[in-house]
This record gives sequence, C-alpha cells and structure tokens, in this order.
Amino acid sequence: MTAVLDTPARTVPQTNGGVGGLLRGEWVKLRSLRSTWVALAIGLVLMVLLGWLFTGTAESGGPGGDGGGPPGLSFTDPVGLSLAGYRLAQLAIGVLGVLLVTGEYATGTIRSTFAAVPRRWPVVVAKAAVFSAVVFLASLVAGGASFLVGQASLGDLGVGLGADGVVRALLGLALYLTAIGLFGMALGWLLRSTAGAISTLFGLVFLLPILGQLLPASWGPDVVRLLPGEAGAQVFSVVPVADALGPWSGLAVLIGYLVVGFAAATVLLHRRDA
Amino acid sequence: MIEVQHLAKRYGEKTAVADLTFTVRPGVVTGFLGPNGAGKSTTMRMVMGLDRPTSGTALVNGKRYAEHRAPLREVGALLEARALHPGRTARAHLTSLAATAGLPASRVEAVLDLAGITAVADQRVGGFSLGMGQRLGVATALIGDPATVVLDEPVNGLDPDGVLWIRTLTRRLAAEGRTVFLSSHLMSEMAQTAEHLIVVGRGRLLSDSSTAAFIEHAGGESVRVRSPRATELTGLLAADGVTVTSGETGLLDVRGLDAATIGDRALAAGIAVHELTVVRPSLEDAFMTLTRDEREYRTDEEMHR
Repeated sequence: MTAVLDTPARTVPQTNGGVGGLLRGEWVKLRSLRSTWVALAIGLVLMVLLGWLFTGTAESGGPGGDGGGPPGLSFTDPVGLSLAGYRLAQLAIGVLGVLLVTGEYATGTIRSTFAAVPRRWPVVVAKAAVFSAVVFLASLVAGGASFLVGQASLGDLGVGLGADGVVRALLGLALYLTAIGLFGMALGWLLRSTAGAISTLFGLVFLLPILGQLLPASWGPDVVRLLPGEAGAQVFSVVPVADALGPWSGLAVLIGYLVVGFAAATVLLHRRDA
Repeated sequence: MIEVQHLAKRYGEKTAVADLTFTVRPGVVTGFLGPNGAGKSTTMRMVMGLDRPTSGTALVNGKRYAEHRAPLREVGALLEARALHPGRTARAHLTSLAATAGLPASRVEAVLDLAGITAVADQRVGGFSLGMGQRLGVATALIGDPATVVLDEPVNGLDPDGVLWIRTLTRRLAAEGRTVFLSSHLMSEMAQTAEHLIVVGRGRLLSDSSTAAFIEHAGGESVRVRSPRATELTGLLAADGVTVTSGETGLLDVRGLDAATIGDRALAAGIAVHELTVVRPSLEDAFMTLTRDEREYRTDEEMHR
C-alpha cells in the first residue's frame, strides 16, 4: 500500500492518452452503464416486433391494409411497412444520446471528465464517435432483422434484399437512427438537463410532425418536411412521399441540425463553468 | 504549487470570490478554512480550470490548469462528494479516467488498494456508503500520481477510521514533496492535519500563516489556577506584564507567567494549589474571533428576515 505513493514521482506518462485513450475512456463509460444496453435493446427489439406486427396484420386490414391505418404506412411499400417501428426506436436512441451527456452533469462526473481533458471539445467528439459506432452497428442489425422478419411475414407481397433501394434503405435507417441519437447528444450538451433535453427531443422529433398537420396547407408541409425527423427519415424511404425531401437532401437537412447543434454546444461548453 | 493572483468570481450581483491572492507550497499540508459560502469550493474549481475566473489567475505547477498536457499527472482533485455515476462500478469509473489520461491499468489497482476499496471495486457505486464514495473520490484524485492534490472537504462522511486515514495520507503526500491543499469545516481535524492555513471569509483572504501562528494570533496561552487562597496568590503573582483575572471565587486566569513559575511561587508561600492548567486557545476560538463579522449567514439576520 505504501509503495504506491512512495515510488519516486513521475512513474507515469507525461502526456494524456491521446485520441485512442479518449475513445477508450468514453467506450468504458458507455459500456459500463446498464442503461446503455437497456435503451438500445428496448428500442431495437421494439422496432423488429412492430415491423412484424405491421406486416403481419396488413392483410387483415391493419396498417397499410384496406382498413386504413396511419398515414405513411402503405401496403404498396413493403420495405417502409417492415421498418415503420423506427418511430419508437428513434426515441429510445435519442433518449440514450441525451442521457450519456446529461448523466455526467447530473452526477457531477463531468468535472472529472473535464479535469482529465481541460480542452473539453475532444470529449464531445469522442463521446459522439463511440456512441455513433455502437448505434450504427446495432441499428444495422436491427434494421436488417426488421426487414427480413417483415418480408417473410408479408409472404408473396414481400421483396428481397436485392430489390430496388433496399440496401440504401437499410444503411439509411442505421444512419438516420445514429443521427437522431447524436441529435439527443447535442441537446444534452446544450441544455445539460435530462428533463429539458428529452422534452425538446420529443417535441421536435415526435410531436411537431403531428402538430404540423394542423398548419395551413399553403405552408404547413414546407415546415414539416424540414423538421429533423421528417427530413432525415427520407434517407430510408423507398417509395417517394409527396411533399417530402429526397433521400440525400433529407439526410443533409438532418446533418445540418447536428452541425448547428454541436457547434452551438461546443461554443457554450467553453464559455460555461463546468 | 498553487499560485492564486487577484482571483475573483462574480455571479451577476453576487461576489463569490473577491481579489484572492495566496500561494500553496509543496511539502506541507495547507488547510483552506472559511465559513460556508466563503468561496472555498469556487476557488478550488477555478484552480482546476472548471470555473472561469471573472478576473485574476490561478496557476498550478507554474501553468494554468488547461495548459498542462497531462493534467491528471499534475493535479488530482476531489471536488465534491459523490461526483460518481451510481450505475457504474468503482473499477469502471477509474478505468475510464485512466484510459483517457493514458495511465496504465496498474494505476487503477494501485489507487483502489490505496483507498482500501479493492474488495468492492466491482460493485456499482450507487450502493456505496458515503464513506466508501469518499474513498473512491480520493482514489480518483490520486490516479495520476499527481504532484499537487486538491481535496474539498475530504473527511465529510468518513467514520473515525476514515478520518485518521485521510490525516495520515495527506501528511504522507506532503512529506513526499507534493503540494496538498484541503478544505474542511472541521476545525479540530484541520488543527491536527494542516501545518499552514489559508482562511477566507466572504470571498476575501483573512489570514495566510502557519497553523501555530494563526492560533497564537487569537491570544496566547493562559494558566488557570484554582486555590483556596486565591486572593493572597494574586498579590504574589502581580507584576509588570502579568495580568490576573478572576471569573469566580478561588479561580484565577493568569497571563504572562508559565505554570511552573506559578506553582513554585505558591509552594514558596505555602499556598495550596488545587488546579494548575495551561489553557491554549483552540483553532475554533481563533477562527471564531477572526470570522465573527465574516459569516455569510448569521442567526440574527436570519431571524429578521
């Protein structure tokens, strides 16, 4: 026990762990919290189950069938129908993005983090990089599972992986969910409070698209299609939707939100006391 | 070495720290004393580069905190109790910091061992007692084997064993030539641990001296004498530079003579002495004298609100 501090000083490196160390540190933080895996599992398992439910009930008049169902879910869009559970998955992943940041503020660990990295902005980048990698891979797997389960459940009406736009849709879905997770993270850095950031996330991604439908037809759709979720979701839509942006321009709008959000967050991060 | 120069922090109208200048030197334990709201924690956060000073500078080992390339190597801090995620294990908490700072995994084991929490290292911090959380906080502060150690209220929530551990540890860290700066509101603890004291009140420096000199400043020693013939004894002791006061019959408070001289004179005159006690002012006395007007919240003010 005494040996620990009695050893002559300067037994450890003179520089920080660099990029590798920063990423490893954030990875340890991410994986050591149960909430990470619970949120990912809930969001992604629900996505697969909902896709299975929607495709399985379509023929009996469920979503996309003759009986109606929510707008945007169409029997003639088997890919979209099998991936429609993303609406729940995005909330779980966005909330996780919020929590990974606000959890540090709520518990005070942000001070240890910034004491280790006083320049601060590398923490923002490393957290985003590690989280993106995990969410992208998990979403790719869950999106693939939703697609396969959904198409199998559609039987003759289903399409294969080789069909037009399917690969783009699956990669796009993983990109989209990653971007929404990052959007949650940016809100977390900006607002630093769990309740505030989650409310804002729900409002922008979940509530505003619904409220937007009540806006006048002359300009309402122009607003709605520029909301982060509505714009970004086009990257995995196979059947073009009226009034919506194209796949890549839609994703570009969502990335625009991220750039603005993270830029503002980083500026504030250096002005504010930790 | 911590060098604070004209450091100030204002939050709108409220001044937390006003023009603070002091130096914390290596090799001794330096205590940071002040009533609640005196600006101790704010000062420590500014030293750690976490809060931005309104004006002035705080240098650690010669540089601003943020300019260090391996900050955890230079300064280790325990800034508030339980700055820990309850869902994470102690080992994961330390491992993430070690990775970020480029420290070997052996440092994690070393500080776990040092803090005596190896046995609970793989338990979630949420289940830790206040004392165990505090030990993990100290382990966190020492993970980089830092030249300067900053501890804000380290003995808070510790049991007597833990208090003794902190006292021994901080003295050893100082003896190894490190700079050790700790705040506490527990005077008796401070009197036993700190050799040097920096005292603040309402964000201003009140005193910067050795602990012994600080206590001395509050009034020197006196000798309490109890004797059935106190009045006669008073006559014997009275001289230039000697003051004798009496609070109650048969009891004298003598300043300016040491206990041996008083005892010898009483014996020579054949006067019985029932008590002969050297009374030293405590750190509490010294502190209360100094900060009487500086306390942020006074009971009479509270009552008039």
